Amino acid sequence: MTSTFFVIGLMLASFPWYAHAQQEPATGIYERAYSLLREESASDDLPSDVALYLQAFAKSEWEMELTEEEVKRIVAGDIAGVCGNRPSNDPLENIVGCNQAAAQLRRLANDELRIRKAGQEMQAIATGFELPTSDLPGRTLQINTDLRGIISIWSAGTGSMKEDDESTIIIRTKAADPDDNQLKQILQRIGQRIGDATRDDGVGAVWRYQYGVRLVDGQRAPTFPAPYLGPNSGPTTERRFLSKRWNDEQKNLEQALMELWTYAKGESFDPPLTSKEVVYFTFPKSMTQGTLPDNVLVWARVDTSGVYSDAGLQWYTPLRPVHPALLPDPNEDAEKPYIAGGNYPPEPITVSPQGEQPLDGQGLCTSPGAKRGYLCRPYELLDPGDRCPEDDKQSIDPDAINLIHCTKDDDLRSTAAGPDVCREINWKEASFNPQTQCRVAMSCGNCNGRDASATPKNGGGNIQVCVGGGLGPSTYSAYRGLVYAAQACSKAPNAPVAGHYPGLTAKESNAVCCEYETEAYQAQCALMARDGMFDTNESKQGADGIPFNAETCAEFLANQACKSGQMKGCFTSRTYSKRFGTELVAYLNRSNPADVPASCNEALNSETMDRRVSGFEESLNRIEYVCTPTTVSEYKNRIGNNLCYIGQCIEQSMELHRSTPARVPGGVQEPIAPWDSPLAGSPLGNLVMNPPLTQGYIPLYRPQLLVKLSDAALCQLQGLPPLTPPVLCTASPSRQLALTRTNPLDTITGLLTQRTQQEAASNDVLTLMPGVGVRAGSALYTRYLSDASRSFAGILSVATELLEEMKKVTFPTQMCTLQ
Amino acid sequence: MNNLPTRKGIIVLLVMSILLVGCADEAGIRGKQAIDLPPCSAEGSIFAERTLDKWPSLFHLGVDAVINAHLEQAGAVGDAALQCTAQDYRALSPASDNLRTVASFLPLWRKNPEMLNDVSEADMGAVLLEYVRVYECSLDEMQNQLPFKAAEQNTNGDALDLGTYHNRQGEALAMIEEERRLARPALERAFELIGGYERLRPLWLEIECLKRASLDLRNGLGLVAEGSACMSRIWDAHGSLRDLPD
Repeated sequence: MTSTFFVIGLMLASFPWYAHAQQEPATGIYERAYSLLREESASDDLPSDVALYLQAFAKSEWEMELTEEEVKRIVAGDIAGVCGNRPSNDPLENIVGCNQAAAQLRRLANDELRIRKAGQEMQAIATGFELPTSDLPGRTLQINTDLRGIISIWSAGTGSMKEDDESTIIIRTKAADPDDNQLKQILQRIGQRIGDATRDDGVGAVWRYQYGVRLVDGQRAPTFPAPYLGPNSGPTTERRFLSKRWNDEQKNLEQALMELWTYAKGESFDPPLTSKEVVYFTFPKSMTQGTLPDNVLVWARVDTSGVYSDAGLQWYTPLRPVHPALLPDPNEDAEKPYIAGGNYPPEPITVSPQGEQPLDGQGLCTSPGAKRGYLCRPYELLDPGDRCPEDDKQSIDPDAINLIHCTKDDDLRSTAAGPDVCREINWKEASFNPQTQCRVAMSCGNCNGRDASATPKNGGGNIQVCVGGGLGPSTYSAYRGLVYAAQACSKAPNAPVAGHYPGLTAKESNAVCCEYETEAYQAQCALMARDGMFDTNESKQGADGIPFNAETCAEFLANQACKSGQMKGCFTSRTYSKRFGTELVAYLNRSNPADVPASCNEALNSETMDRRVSGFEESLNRIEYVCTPTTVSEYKNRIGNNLCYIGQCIEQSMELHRSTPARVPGGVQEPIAPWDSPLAGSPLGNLVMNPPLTQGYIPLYRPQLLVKLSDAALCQLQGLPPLTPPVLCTASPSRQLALTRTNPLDTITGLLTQRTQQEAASNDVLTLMPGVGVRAGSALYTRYLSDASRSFAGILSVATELLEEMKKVTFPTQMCTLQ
Repeated sequence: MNNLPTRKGIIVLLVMSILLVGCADEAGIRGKQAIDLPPCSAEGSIFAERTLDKWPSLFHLGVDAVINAHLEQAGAVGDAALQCTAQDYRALSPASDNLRTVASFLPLWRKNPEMLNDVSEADMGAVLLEYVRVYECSLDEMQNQLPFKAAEQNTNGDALDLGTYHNRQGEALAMIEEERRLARPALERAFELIGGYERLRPLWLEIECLKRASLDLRNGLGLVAEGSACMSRIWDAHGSLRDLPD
């Protein structure tokens, strides 16, 4: 026994929470929950606003003057004690009248307390779900923040996430100096002005400024307008704490928060903030302890644009909801001195050019982290009809609440020579390099009598593509013009390209011409062939016994293009007559089976432009041959960026490779010999498909349906069809009256007792409902996770495959030389 | 109104059963051998060794410390030595000192040193539910023994007057009633609050493991990227017939 005590003593000595149990109160989640429950369960501690409400109610309805003490006694059940001592001039001095009034007050008090208790229960449940996904620094659980770490390892780009124009990324936090007296004073003022955060006013203030004081004041508009306030949110309504401003002279909380924001804004940052950065200030607990109420945290945020800059309040652990207000704002003229219930607030919507937009999540979406969540942005749909629920505005299920809205499927984009793996990502640090990159501009014009041409790349990397007409629909000419541009793009500035041979002899010019023109006409004629231009009987018949097809088309036209001046033309597999050329051109000019834009203006108009032309143009403007010798690329060491580099090297190898001497394929994986026509079969590999993605699915949330089902179940128990309100099902006289009984007394007894019987059944349903609700919630959660985990499994599978493949690679022991 | 405690009870029972099924199974309470829960008594627990006035702080601060340590461990998962190849989550998260201490207060773990050694953070729900059960049993037992205990506590040797005796008994009774009313609901409320985290915890641990694997993958891909820079030299095989004249 002694040894047992010794061991326990040793253990106890080493654990401060036990050793100092009496001295130091804990402030964890449990302790907060325990304190709240103690407060709730203290029967003699009726909240003062409930007591004031009852006093105001009694005074207004019955001119009954009650002290707070009397109200508390009534609620505690001492009605006789209160009513027995009424003064003789009391309007309710009649004991029966007083008893009835007091009983009603007690019922009201119990109702209000029940609502508060239910509100706190629901708040606890919501907090349990939401707290782990919070992105506010200073809270206990930050899964969201930790997820960013993994995203930054995987993602491609130069920021911490894939960036677009609208997104802003939190990448920094800054701890405030705990010895800064100015800051301490500001925090003290905030603490004083919140007041008692356990009462409705203080609780309301924390919730009101949870997304920032500048937001509430409309200073972040128009990007983030001030929170929506419906007509039922005024100072005399039960929602008044949701619209209240704490900016009066006595309690100017807004001013104190603005001071905090001004302080944060004035801080210097090293390195300086960029336009994509947001800094969150964290305040050590040593600063806030004793100044701010327990469980309340204060935050400040700064960015360069000011759109996200703000300062506000939050809960460490949200436990207290905003209760419906019972008393109107004392500074307002209210019809009655108490608030007699209220209406449901109108649906929060706003009207924008896109139509009516729901405002749910509006405040949440003003935070840079939460803004990227599915409540705040469209859900990209990759698998239409399967993963995305129906549009919420055209929902066929009126009971459903869609938590997301979807965008339409994006087109698969491809360059002329396959997809560009990192097309939409700025994955490299380097800026535009005219030696290896280019900027292409297209225009309509004469083009020196040709249907398409391109200038050599100038020193700034610019290439002008000219599109004329006269050789079939201009879309195909535009496409060939871009091929010229692509040829120039991969060369150094002012290098010879098709049609421009400065400093070259006639022989050299001829060689260059044939090289480039053949490639360009091959691309154009192949595109025509894919559109079915050479599938007609007329084309098969051709001219002079030679059919019109991609091969003869490219051969003839390239040869013709290189026959000007001293150039003698290119090698052709047969001799083409002038008549063949005339008829081919005439045929091309009257044929357009794919109905592509025919005139130059249509072909180059961004709204009517063929997708292949626009995709090609776009890819040329982004193309960079990172694998060209001597090219140095700098990027952040991330999985995505590494894959972009590898992918572009592979693309470059596929697009420009010369694997067999003297044989140049015209496009990716095209055959290297003219007789090896790709048009005979399917040109495999021209389109590399994106890997299949498994999108997470946010299941439909159908609370109204669940309520309807439970109402129906309630009525079914009574053998009745669903009725509205369902309470009608608990007492139906027709059921007893329809029974033919010999003794009428039985019918009366039946009528009297049926309510009790039905209530028992109803209570069973009500008792089961929370359990059913938990099951329904869990089912929703399971359904979401099962899909989300599939995405997760997909990523893991890709990772495993990559690692397996890497195991097979024998890496060189030294770096590949640059030259 | 009367149904509220019952309804709440059902929610909590469901949550508890989920926690217990998950935790108890992992804790080895199932699967190895059937272990009988100790009788409903303070005997063998820490409460038998402390006076009644110390019980509330012993219990509440204990639960608070265990839950705080649990969450702190979660916050520091990035620095933890995780065994990512483990077959279950228990091996991923060893018990905090606070949890081990509270488990050692309880007869179930005290009598089974192997179980005490094997306790994991995944057992938190099971340990705390057993803690509250033993606490309630101890309170009930104490309530039955109050008349004797109140008399026993007269430590200064003087005769105990009836008024003091009744006062002491009344205070103790009030405290016992309050603890019986609040201890379990407070624990249940705390479970409600950390329920979201508990549901996400396995995913979170997996993510941490994936993060570590991702770093390996990133470094491996860095090497591959460096190697891929050679591809253009391998494939760009210009031939004499193809090359332009100088």
